[in-house]
Amino acid sequence: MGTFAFEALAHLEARNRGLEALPLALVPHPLGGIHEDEVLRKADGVIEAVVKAVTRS
Amino acid sequence: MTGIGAAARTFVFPGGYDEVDAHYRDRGWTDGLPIVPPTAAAVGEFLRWSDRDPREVVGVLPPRQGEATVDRIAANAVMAGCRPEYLPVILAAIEALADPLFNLDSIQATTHPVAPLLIVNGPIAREIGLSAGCNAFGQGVRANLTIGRALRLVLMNVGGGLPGEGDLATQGSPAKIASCVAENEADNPWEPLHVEHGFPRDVSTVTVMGCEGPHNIQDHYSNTGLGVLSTIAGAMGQAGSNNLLAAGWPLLSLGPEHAATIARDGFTKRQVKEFLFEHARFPLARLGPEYRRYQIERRGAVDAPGTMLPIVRSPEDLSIIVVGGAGKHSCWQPTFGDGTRPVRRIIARRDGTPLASVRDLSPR
Repeated sequence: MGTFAFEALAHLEARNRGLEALPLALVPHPLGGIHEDEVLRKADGVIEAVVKAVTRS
Repeated sequence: MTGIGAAARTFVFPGGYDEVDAHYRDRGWTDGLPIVPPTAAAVGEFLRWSDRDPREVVGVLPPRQGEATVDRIAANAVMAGCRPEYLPVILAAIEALADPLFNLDSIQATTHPVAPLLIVNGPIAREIGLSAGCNAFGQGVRANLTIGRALRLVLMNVGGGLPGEGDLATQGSPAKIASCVAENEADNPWEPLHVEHGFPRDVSTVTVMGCEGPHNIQDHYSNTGLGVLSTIAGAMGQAGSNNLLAAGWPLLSLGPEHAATIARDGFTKRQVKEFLFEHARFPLARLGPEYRRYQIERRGAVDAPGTMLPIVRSPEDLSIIVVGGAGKHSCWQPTFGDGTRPVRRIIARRDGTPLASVRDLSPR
Protein backbone atom coordinates (compact mmCIF):
# COMPACT_ATOMS: atom_id res chain seq x y z
CA MET A 1 0.00 0.00 0.00
CA GLY A 2 1.43 3.37 -0.94
CA THR A 3 0.97 6.44 -3.05
CA PHE A 4 1.77 6.90 -6.71
CA ALA A 5 4.65 9.22 -5.70
CA PHE A 6 6.43 6.17 -4.33
CA GLU A 7 5.43 3.69 -7.00
CA ALA A 8 8.84 3.48 -8.65
CA LEU A 9 10.56 2.97 -5.29
CA ALA A 10 8.07 0.26 -4.34
CA HIS A 11 8.74 -1.61 -7.58
CA LEU A 12 12.50 -1.16 -7.12
CA GLU A 13 12.41 -2.56 -3.58
CA ALA A 14 10.16 -5.46 -4.55
CA ARG A 15 12.25 -6.39 -7.58
CA ASN A 16 15.52 -6.28 -5.65
CA ARG A 17 14.10 -8.60 -3.01
CA GLY A 18 12.93 -11.10 -5.60
CA LEU A 19 9.27 -10.11 -5.26
CA GLU A 20 8.66 -8.71 -8.70
CA ALA A 21 5.03 -9.86 -8.70
CA LEU A 22 4.25 -8.28 -5.33
CA PRO A 23 0.82 -6.66 -5.71
CA LEU A 24 0.78 -2.95 -4.92
CA ALA A 25 -2.29 -0.97 -3.92
CA LEU A 26 -1.59 2.61 -4.87
CA VAL A 27 -3.56 5.76 -4.12
CA PRO A 28 -3.03 9.41 -5.09
CA HIS A 29 -0.40 11.23 -3.04
CA PRO A 30 -0.40 12.28 -0.20
CA LEU A 31 -1.62 10.08 2.63
CA GLY A 32 -0.36 12.24 5.48
CA GLY A 33 -1.91 15.57 6.44
CA ILE A 34 -5.31 14.94 4.87
CA HIS A 35 -8.78 14.89 6.39
CA GLU A 36 -10.48 11.65 7.33
CA ASP A 37 -13.13 11.87 4.61
CA GLU A 38 -10.38 12.11 2.01
CA VAL A 39 -8.67 9.05 3.51
CA LEU A 40 -11.93 7.15 3.15
CA ARG A 41 -12.34 8.29 -0.46
CA LYS A 42 -8.84 7.07 -1.29
CA ALA A 43 -9.50 3.78 0.50
CA ASP A 44 -12.73 3.29 -1.45
CA GLY A 45 -10.81 3.78 -4.65
CA VAL A 46 -8.35 1.01 -3.90
CA ILE A 47 -10.31 -1.49 -1.81
CA GLU A 48 -11.11 -3.78 -4.71
CA ALA A 49 -7.45 -4.07 -5.61
CA VAL A 50 -6.59 -4.88 -1.99
CA VAL A 51 -9.27 -7.58 -1.75
CA LYS A 52 -8.11 -9.08 -5.03
CA ALA A 53 -4.49 -9.10 -3.87
CA VAL A 54 -5.12 -10.73 -0.50
CA THR A 55 -7.70 -13.27 -1.72
CA ARG A 56 -6.17 -13.95 -5.14
CA SER A 57 -9.74 -13.77 -6.45
CA MET B 1 28.85 -10.23 7.00
CA THR B 2 30.84 -12.83 5.18
CA GLY B 3 30.70 -14.15 1.68
CA ILE B 4 32.39 -13.43 -1.57
CA GLY B 5 30.78 -11.18 -4.14
CA ALA B 6 31.40 -10.55 -7.79
CA ALA B 7 34.67 -8.89 -8.72
CA ALA B 8 34.38 -5.20 -9.49
CA ARG B 9 34.21 -4.60 -13.22
CA THR B 10 37.07 -2.77 -14.85
CA PHE B 11 36.96 -1.09 -18.24
CA VAL B 12 39.37 0.67 -20.52
CA PHE B 13 38.55 4.32 -20.98
CA PRO B 14 40.22 6.13 -23.84
CA GLY B 15 39.53 9.74 -22.83
CA GLY B 16 41.21 12.21 -20.50
CA TYR B 17 40.01 13.39 -17.10
CA ASP B 18 37.16 15.53 -18.42
CA GLU B 19 35.76 12.62 -20.38
CA VAL B 20 36.10 10.26 -17.44
CA ASP B 21 34.36 12.70 -15.12
CA ALA B 22 31.59 13.28 -17.66
CA HIS B 23 31.17 9.53 -18.12
CA TYR B 24 30.71 8.97 -14.39
CA ARG B 25 28.31 11.92 -14.19
CA ASP B 26 26.26 10.73 -17.18
CA ARG B 27 25.98 7.22 -15.76
CA GLY B 28 24.70 8.63 -12.47
CA TRP B 29 27.73 7.39 -10.55
CA THR B 30 28.48 10.64 -8.72
CA ASP B 31 26.93 12.76 -5.99
CA GLY B 32 27.05 15.78 -8.29
CA LEU B 33 30.64 16.68 -7.51
CA PRO B 34 33.59 15.78 -9.72
CA ILE B 35 35.18 12.44 -8.90
CA VAL B 36 38.71 11.11 -8.71
CA PRO B 37 38.90 8.35 -11.35
CA PRO B 38 39.03 4.96 -9.61
CA THR B 39 41.80 3.48 -11.70
CA ALA B 40 42.87 -0.09 -11.05
CA ALA B 41 46.16 1.24 -9.68
CA ALA B 42 44.46 3.64 -7.26
CA VAL B 43 42.02 1.00 -6.03
CA GLY B 44 44.89 -1.45 -5.68
CA GLU B 45 46.77 0.99 -3.47
CA PHE B 46 43.70 1.31 -1.21
CA LEU B 47 43.36 -2.47 -0.97
CA ARG B 48 46.83 -2.66 0.54
CA TRP B 49 45.31 -1.04 3.64
CA SER B 50 43.03 -3.97 4.38
CA ASP B 51 43.63 -7.64 5.14
CA ARG B 52 40.28 -8.62 3.65
CA ASP B 53 39.69 -10.36 0.35
CA PRO B 54 38.84 -7.63 -2.19
CA ARG B 55 35.66 -9.54 -3.06
CA GLU B 56 34.54 -10.02 0.54
CA VAL B 57 31.02 -8.71 1.06
CA VAL B 58 31.12 -6.19 3.90
CA GLY B 59 27.39 -5.53 3.77
CA VAL B 60 24.30 -5.79 1.57
CA LEU B 61 22.84 -2.36 0.98
CA PRO B 62 19.21 -1.54 0.15
CA PRO B 63 17.21 -0.60 -1.81
CA ARG B 64 19.26 -2.23 -4.58
CA GLN B 65 20.44 -5.01 -2.24
CA GLY B 66 23.87 -4.27 -3.63
CA GLU B 67 26.82 -6.22 -2.30
CA ALA B 68 29.29 -3.78 -0.82
CA THR B 69 32.50 -5.69 -1.45
CA VAL B 70 35.85 -4.39 -0.27
CA ASP B 71 36.95 -3.43 -3.77
CA ARG B 72 33.69 -1.65 -4.60
CA ILE B 73 33.99 0.28 -1.37
CA ALA B 74 37.61 1.09 -2.18
CA ALA B 75 36.64 2.33 -5.65
CA ASN B 76 34.06 4.70 -4.17
CA ALA B 77 36.58 5.87 -1.58
CA VAL B 78 39.01 6.71 -4.39
CA MET B 79 36.22 8.58 -6.19
CA ALA B 80 35.46 10.56 -3.02
CA GLY B 81 39.05 11.79 -2.76
CA CYS B 82 40.03 9.69 0.26
CA ARG B 83 43.57 8.80 1.23
CA PRO B 84 44.25 5.03 1.07
CA GLU B 85 44.79 4.80 4.81
CA TYR B 86 41.18 5.81 5.45
CA LEU B 87 39.95 2.48 4.11
CA PRO B 88 39.84 0.55 7.44
CA VAL B 89 37.63 3.29 8.89
CA ILE B 90 35.32 3.22 5.87
CA LEU B 91 35.01 -0.57 5.92
CA ALA B 92 34.01 -0.51 9.60
CA ALA B 93 31.49 2.23 8.85
CA ILE B 94 29.88 0.33 5.97
CA GLU B 95 29.62 -2.75 8.17
CA ALA B 96 27.81 -0.63 10.76
CA LEU B 97 25.49 0.95 8.19
CA ALA B 98 24.47 -2.50 6.97
CA ASP B 99 23.46 -3.62 10.47
CA PRO B 100 19.66 -4.08 10.52
CA LEU B 101 19.45 -1.98 13.69
CA PHE B 102 20.54 1.03 11.67
CA ASN B 103 17.63 0.37 9.29
CA LEU B 104 19.20 1.44 6.04
CA ASP B 105 16.06 0.29 4.19
CA SER B 106 14.16 3.24 5.58
CA ILE B 107 17.04 5.67 5.85
CA GLN B 108 17.93 5.38 2.18
CA ALA B 109 14.39 5.85 0.91
CA THR B 110 12.64 8.16 3.37
CA THR B 111 11.31 11.66 2.74
CA HIS B 112 13.05 12.69 6.02
CA PRO B 113 16.41 14.51 5.62
CA VAL B 114 18.32 11.84 7.53
CA ALA B 115 22.02 11.38 6.89
CA PRO B 116 24.40 8.74 8.22
CA LEU B 117 26.65 10.60 10.66
CA LEU B 118 29.95 8.81 11.31
CA ILE B 119 31.60 9.46 14.68
CA VAL B 120 35.14 8.14 15.04
CA ASN B 121 36.71 7.56 18.45
CA GLY B 122 40.15 6.42 19.54
CA PRO B 123 43.72 6.86 18.33
CA ILE B 124 43.01 6.09 14.67
CA ALA B 125 40.84 9.21 14.44
CA ARG B 126 43.89 11.27 15.32
CA GLU B 127 46.24 9.18 13.20
CA ILE B 128 44.35 9.80 9.97
CA GLY B 129 43.89 13.48 10.76
CA LEU B 130 40.16 13.62 11.41
CA SER B 131 39.11 16.94 12.85
CA ALA B 132 37.41 17.00 16.24
CA GLY B 133 38.09 20.66 16.91
CA CYS B 134 37.38 24.04 15.34
CA ASN B 135 34.72 23.76 12.59
CA ALA B 136 34.79 19.95 12.81
CA PHE B 137 31.33 19.61 11.25
CA GLY B 138 32.28 22.10 8.54
CA GLN B 139 34.75 22.47 5.73
CA GLY B 140 38.52 22.30 5.77
CA VAL B 141 39.70 18.79 6.59
CA ARG B 142 40.12 16.14 3.95
CA ALA B 143 39.51 13.12 6.19
CA ASN B 144 36.17 14.38 7.51
CA LEU B 145 34.85 15.41 4.12
CA THR B 146 36.07 12.57 1.97
CA ILE B 147 35.23 9.74 4.38
CA GLY B 148 31.72 11.16 4.72
CA ARG B 149 31.49 11.49 0.96
CA ALA B 150 32.77 7.93 0.43
CA LEU B 151 29.92 6.59 2.54
CA ARG B 152 27.42 8.57 0.49
CA LEU B 153 28.89 7.33 -2.80
CA VAL B 154 28.70 3.72 -1.59
CA LEU B 155 25.09 4.24 -0.52
CA MET B 156 24.32 5.62 -3.99
CA ASN B 157 26.42 3.44 -6.26
CA VAL B 158 26.13 0.14 -4.41
CA GLY B 159 22.93 0.66 -2.43
CA GLY B 160 21.02 2.50 -5.15
CA GLY B 161 20.07 5.51 -3.01
CA LEU B 162 19.73 7.78 -6.01
CA PRO B 163 17.67 10.96 -5.61
CA GLY B 164 14.22 10.50 -7.09
CA GLU B 165 14.65 6.72 -7.36
CA GLY B 166 15.90 5.04 -4.21
CA ASP B 167 16.13 8.23 -2.14
CA LEU B 168 12.92 10.23 -1.94
CA ALA B 169 13.93 12.94 0.54
CA THR B 170 11.51 15.84 0.35
CA GLN B 171 14.24 18.47 0.68
CA GLY B 172 17.33 16.55 1.70
CA SER B 173 20.09 18.22 3.66
CA PRO B 174 23.70 19.31 3.18
CA ALA B 175 24.47 16.68 5.83
CA LYS B 176 23.67 14.04 3.22
CA ILE B 177 26.73 15.05 1.20
CA ALA B 178 29.24 14.17 3.93
CA SER B 179 28.86 13.77 7.70
CA CYS B 180 31.93 12.53 9.51
CA VAL B 181 33.54 13.81 12.68
CA ALA B 182 35.89 12.67 15.43
CA GLU B 183 35.10 13.18 19.09
CA ASN B 184 37.25 15.77 20.85
CA GLU B 185 38.42 13.33 23.50
CA ALA B 186 41.20 15.60 24.76
CA ASP B 187 38.70 18.27 25.81
CA ASN B 188 36.04 15.87 27.05
CA PRO B 189 35.65 16.13 30.84
CA TRP B 190 33.89 12.76 30.89
CA GLU B 191 34.52 9.42 29.23
CA PRO B 192 34.33 9.53 25.41
CA LEU B 193 31.54 7.75 23.58
CA HIS B 194 33.33 4.45 22.95
CA VAL B 195 34.61 4.18 26.54
CA GLU B 196 31.08 4.87 27.82
CA HIS B 197 29.99 1.85 25.80
CA GLY B 198 32.62 -0.46 27.22
CA PHE B 199 35.59 -0.15 24.87
CA PRO B 200 39.11 0.63 26.10
CA ARG B 201 40.24 4.16 25.39
CA ASP B 202 42.97 2.95 23.02
CA VAL B 203 40.56 0.94 20.85
CA SER B 204 39.29 2.86 17.85
CA THR B 205 35.62 2.66 16.93
CA VAL B 206 33.12 4.05 14.49
CA THR B 207 29.56 4.89 15.48
CA VAL B 208 26.92 5.55 12.84
CA MET B 209 23.76 7.48 13.64
CA GLY B 210 20.86 8.34 11.37
CA CYS B 211 20.79 12.09 12.02
CA GLU B 212 19.60 15.38 10.67
CA GLY B 213 22.28 18.00 10.22
CA PRO B 214 23.52 19.85 13.33
CA HIS B 215 21.09 22.32 14.98
CA ASN B 216 23.14 25.02 16.71
CA ILE B 217 22.66 25.82 20.41
CA GLN B 218 24.22 29.14 21.35
CA ASP B 219 24.62 30.23 24.98
CA HIS B 220 27.14 32.99 25.67
CA TYR B 221 25.40 34.17 28.81
CA SER B 222 25.04 31.30 31.25
CA ASN B 223 27.99 30.81 33.57
CA THR B 224 26.67 27.76 35.38
CA GLY B 225 26.16 24.20 34.26
CA LEU B 226 22.50 24.50 35.12
CA GLY B 227 22.17 27.58 32.95
CA VAL B 228 23.86 25.99 29.94
CA LEU B 229 21.81 22.82 30.31
CA SER B 230 18.60 24.84 30.52
CA THR B 231 19.36 26.46 27.17
CA ILE B 232 20.25 23.10 25.64
CA ALA B 233 17.05 21.55 26.96
CA GLY B 234 15.08 24.43 25.46
CA ALA B 235 16.66 23.84 22.06
CA MET B 236 16.18 20.09 22.06
CA GLY B 237 12.58 20.15 23.20
CA GLN B 238 11.30 21.40 19.87
CA ALA B 239 8.26 20.68 17.75
CA GLY B 240 8.80 19.02 14.41
CA SER B 241 11.60 16.59 15.17
CA ASN B 242 11.13 12.86 14.64
CA ASN B 243 12.26 12.41 18.24
CA LEU B 244 9.28 14.35 19.53
CA LEU B 245 7.13 12.30 17.18
CA ALA B 246 8.52 8.90 18.10
CA ALA B 247 11.42 9.18 20.59
CA GLY B 248 14.55 7.30 19.46
CA TRP B 249 18.22 8.01 20.08
CA PRO B 250 19.18 11.65 19.37
CA LEU B 251 22.67 13.13 19.63
CA LEU B 252 23.99 16.10 21.58
CA SER B 253 27.44 17.39 20.61
CA LEU B 254 28.67 19.67 23.35
CA GLY B 255 31.24 22.31 22.52
CA PRO B 256 34.24 21.95 24.87
CA GLU B 257 33.47 25.19 26.72
CA HIS B 258 29.87 24.23 27.41
CA ALA B 259 31.06 20.76 28.49
CA ALA B 260 33.65 22.28 30.82
CA THR B 261 31.12 24.58 32.48
CA ILE B 262 28.66 21.72 33.00
CA ALA B 263 31.33 19.35 34.36
CA ARG B 264 32.87 22.04 36.58
CA ASP B 265 29.52 22.35 38.32
CA GLY B 266 29.54 18.68 39.17
CA PHE B 267 27.38 17.09 36.51
CA THR B 268 28.41 13.62 35.39
CA LYS B 269 27.50 12.59 31.85
CA ARG B 270 24.74 10.42 33.29
CA GLN B 271 23.35 13.40 35.21
CA VAL B 272 23.41 15.51 32.04
CA LYS B 273 21.32 12.84 30.34
CA GLU B 274 18.91 12.70 33.26
CA PHE B 275 18.53 16.48 33.26
CA LEU B 276 17.82 16.55 29.55
CA PHE B 277 15.41 13.65 29.77
CA GLU B 278 13.38 15.66 32.29
CA HIS B 279 13.69 19.10 30.70
CA ALA B 280 14.16 18.70 26.93
CA ARG B 281 10.42 18.52 26.40
CA PHE B 282 7.74 20.31 24.42
CA PRO B 283 4.34 21.30 25.78
CA LEU B 284 1.51 19.14 24.43
CA ALA B 285 -0.77 22.18 24.56
CA ARG B 286 1.35 24.04 21.99
CA LEU B 287 0.92 21.40 19.31
CA GLY B 288 -1.84 21.67 16.74
CA PRO B 289 -5.01 19.67 17.41
CA GLU B 290 -4.31 16.75 15.08
CA TYR B 291 -0.71 16.32 16.27
CA ARG B 292 -1.94 16.61 19.86
CA ARG B 293 -4.50 13.90 19.24
CA TYR B 294 -1.81 11.67 17.74
CA GLN B 295 0.32 12.08 20.88
CA ILE B 296 -2.63 11.27 23.12
CA GLU B 297 -4.09 8.36 21.16
CA ARG B 298 -0.93 6.75 19.78
CA ARG B 299 1.78 7.61 22.29
CA GLY B 300 -0.21 7.71 25.50
CA ALA B 301 0.34 11.37 26.33
CA VAL B 302 -1.86 12.58 29.17
CA ASP B 303 -4.42 15.07 27.87
CA ALA B 304 -3.74 17.76 30.46
CA PRO B 305 -2.69 21.41 30.23
CA GLY B 306 0.69 20.81 31.86
CA THR B 307 1.78 17.74 29.85
CA MET B 308 5.33 17.97 28.51
CA LEU B 309 6.37 15.55 25.77
CA PRO B 310 9.82 13.92 25.98
CA ILE B 311 12.15 13.32 23.03
CA VAL B 312 13.57 10.05 24.41
CA ARG B 313 12.05 7.18 26.37
CA SER B 314 14.86 7.12 28.94
CA PRO B 315 18.00 9.13 29.74
CA GLU B 316 20.38 6.52 28.34
CA ASP B 317 18.80 6.83 24.90
CA LEU B 318 20.49 10.20 24.49
CA SER B 319 24.04 10.11 23.09
CA ILE B 320 26.47 12.83 24.14
CA ILE B 321 29.85 13.61 22.59
CA VAL B 322 32.21 16.58 22.80
CA VAL B 323 33.12 18.23 19.51
CA GLY B 324 34.60 21.55 18.47
CA GLY B 325 36.99 24.31 19.44
CA ALA B 326 36.74 27.60 21.29
CA GLY B 327 33.32 29.22 21.64
CA LYS B 328 29.99 28.95 23.36
CA HIS B 329 28.24 26.71 20.86
CA SER B 330 26.94 23.19 21.02
CA CYS B 331 24.57 21.41 18.68
CA TRP B 332 22.06 18.64 18.70
CA GLN B 333 20.99 16.35 15.93
CA PRO B 334 17.51 14.90 15.87
CA THR B 335 17.50 11.43 14.43
CA PHE B 336 15.12 9.38 12.30
CA GLY B 337 13.05 8.84 15.45
CA ASP B 338 12.77 5.29 16.69
CA GLY B 339 13.37 4.05 13.15
CA THR B 340 17.13 3.85 13.62
CA ARG B 341 19.58 3.03 16.38
CA PRO B 342 23.22 4.03 16.79
CA VAL B 343 25.48 1.19 15.65
CA ARG B 344 29.10 0.80 16.65
CA ARG B 345 32.00 -1.21 15.23
CA ILE B 346 35.64 -1.59 16.16
CA ILE B 347 38.14 -0.57 13.49
CA ALA B 348 39.71 -3.98 13.24
CA ARG B 349 41.53 -6.61 11.30
CA ARG B 350 39.44 -9.12 9.44
CA ASP B 351 39.60 -11.48 12.45
CA GLY B 352 38.17 -8.78 14.71
CA THR B 353 41.41 -7.83 16.45
CA PRO B 354 41.35 -4.07 17.04
CA LEU B 355 43.82 -2.10 14.97
CA ALA B 356 46.18 -0.03 17.08
CA SER B 357 47.12 1.87 13.93
CA VAL B 358 45.94 1.76 10.33
CA ARG B 359 49.62 1.27 9.47
CA ASP B 360 49.47 -2.17 11.09
CA LEU B 361 47.98 -3.36 7.80
CA SER B 362 50.15 -1.59 5.25
CA PRO B 363 52.29 -1.70 3.32
CA ARG B 364 52.13 -5.45 3.00
